[in-house]
Amino acid sequence: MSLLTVENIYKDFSGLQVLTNVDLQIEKGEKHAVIGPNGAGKSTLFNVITGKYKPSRGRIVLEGEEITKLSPNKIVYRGIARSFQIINIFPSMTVFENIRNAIASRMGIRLRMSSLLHSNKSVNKATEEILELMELNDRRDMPVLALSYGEQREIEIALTLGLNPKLIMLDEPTAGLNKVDTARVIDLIRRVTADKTLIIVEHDMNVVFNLADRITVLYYGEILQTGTKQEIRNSEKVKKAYLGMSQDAVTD
Amino acid sequence: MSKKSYIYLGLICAGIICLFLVPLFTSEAQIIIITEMLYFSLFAISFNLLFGYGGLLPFGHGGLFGIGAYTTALILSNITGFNVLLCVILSGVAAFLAGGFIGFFALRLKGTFFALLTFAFQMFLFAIAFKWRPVTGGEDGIGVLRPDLHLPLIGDISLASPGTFYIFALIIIIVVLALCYWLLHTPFGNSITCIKVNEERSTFLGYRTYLSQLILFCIASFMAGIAGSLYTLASEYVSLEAINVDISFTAIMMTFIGGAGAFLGPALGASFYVVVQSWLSNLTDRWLLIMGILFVLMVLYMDGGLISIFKKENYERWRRKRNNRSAGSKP
Repeated sequence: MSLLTVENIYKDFSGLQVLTNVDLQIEKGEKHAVIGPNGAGKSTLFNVITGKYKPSRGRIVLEGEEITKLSPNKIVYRGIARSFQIINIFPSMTVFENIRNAIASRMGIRLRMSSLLHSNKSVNKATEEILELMELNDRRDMPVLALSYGEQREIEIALTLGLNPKLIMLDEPTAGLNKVDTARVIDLIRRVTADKTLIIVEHDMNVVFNLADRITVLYYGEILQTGTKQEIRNSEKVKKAYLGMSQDAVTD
Repeated sequence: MSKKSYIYLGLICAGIICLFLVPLFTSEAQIIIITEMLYFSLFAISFNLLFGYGGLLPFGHGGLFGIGAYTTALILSNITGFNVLLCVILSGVAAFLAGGFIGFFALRLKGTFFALLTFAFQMFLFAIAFKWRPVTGGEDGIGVLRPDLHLPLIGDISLASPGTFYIFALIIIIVVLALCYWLLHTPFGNSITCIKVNEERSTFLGYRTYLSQLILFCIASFMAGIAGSLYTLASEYVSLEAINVDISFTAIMMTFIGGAGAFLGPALGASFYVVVQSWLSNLTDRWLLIMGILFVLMVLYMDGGLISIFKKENYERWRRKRNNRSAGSKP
């Protein structure tokens, strides 16, 4: 059984068809990339899967259970965690506090009033583990606003990881990064998601071919093709529709 | 615990001891005003729980204060020999339940609509207090007598004198504020902060905005109800003043004057407000005008409120500015 199944998803915004008949199957442990030109519907697909938008038609099934109509927080409880294309973190808090927010939620103590948060040993320990994993220890007590853009991108990933999800969804984790930072973040993603299932939206072809096992190409809201790296690389219609202008990136 | 938090703890203990010693050094008239400062502090802090911590701006918080005030008056005027402590707690519970009802509807809306819906609920409560004369006394209000406090093992303590009532109110307020402070540092308090700072991200981390805010609304209502109850006990009388729209805006003004960014900021604002009001109202009937001007000035030039005077970083900023200026004037 697939971890995530997306069946015939349609989404329109008051008449504007953004997703048309999208089907996806994500197996456990798979690294799946969704690519496509601007406006192809990649982010909308993310938003539909994670419950931000409800699809106009179709079903989303996680481990055999339908999650189509659940609210975003319930989808999080089922085990899907996402990051955002535009940095979306807790700006007034420190690195530690940001990650702790994710940990406290994962441990299901969101409404607990019987104990103090900062002296909760298991929360602190789990937060330290994420800091360790992300190599953010030396920035532990810095407010995230004081971090560089690249580091804020890492916090974005750390928050997602903090939920310890079954499925990680990263929406353009390298958006706006220079080459050096991109390489670092890619290494990081590869390392921290080694034994996890990942869906990633990306523009950068290097990133995609570096990270993903399988690739889905979206083109104006429709799936052009889903396949392995090799299949996508050799596909004539993908080349024509999307990769044509960046042949070099694909072939090297 | 760090050195800094020991200092804070010491300061707070010293402050509390000072508060307990106040009746020894003040006249009865002064102690009445100081009691007023206390319960308005509680009220303003309960408002700030929603505004400063929750990022919500209700215009009808006074309605919950009024519910507490009227509950106390109704209990004491109808049931003789009712335990006054229980009466205060029941008033809080009544406000808690009313807050749950109001919040259940109002929190579905955001921003202005939320503010206006809470306002509408308060108008509704006001109308009940105004029109339901057989029960609430309408414009005449309800007079009550402060009963003795029955304590098991200790016996009866008379609260008739302003001094003993002050101590009674002080203990209740310290307990409620300590619980509230605790609450803000629990995982629940953190959830509230998360939702205020970044609601979307919180949702996608699994936080539930509506449920968390509803619980917060109920807790703030409970505190407002306790404050209202103490108001009735202090003045031994309740009338429309306690549930009027003015009372909501009083809370807003106290919070803005004191500063929403610190736990005790609104308490400072409330104390300032009460003192200035009692001073100005002796001088002129137009004291509200002066309070209004003060409020405008605070919002324009001191958006951190009075509490920002005590914040170190403000001094540093000021000193830096001065140094820059003197450095700039050198040839």
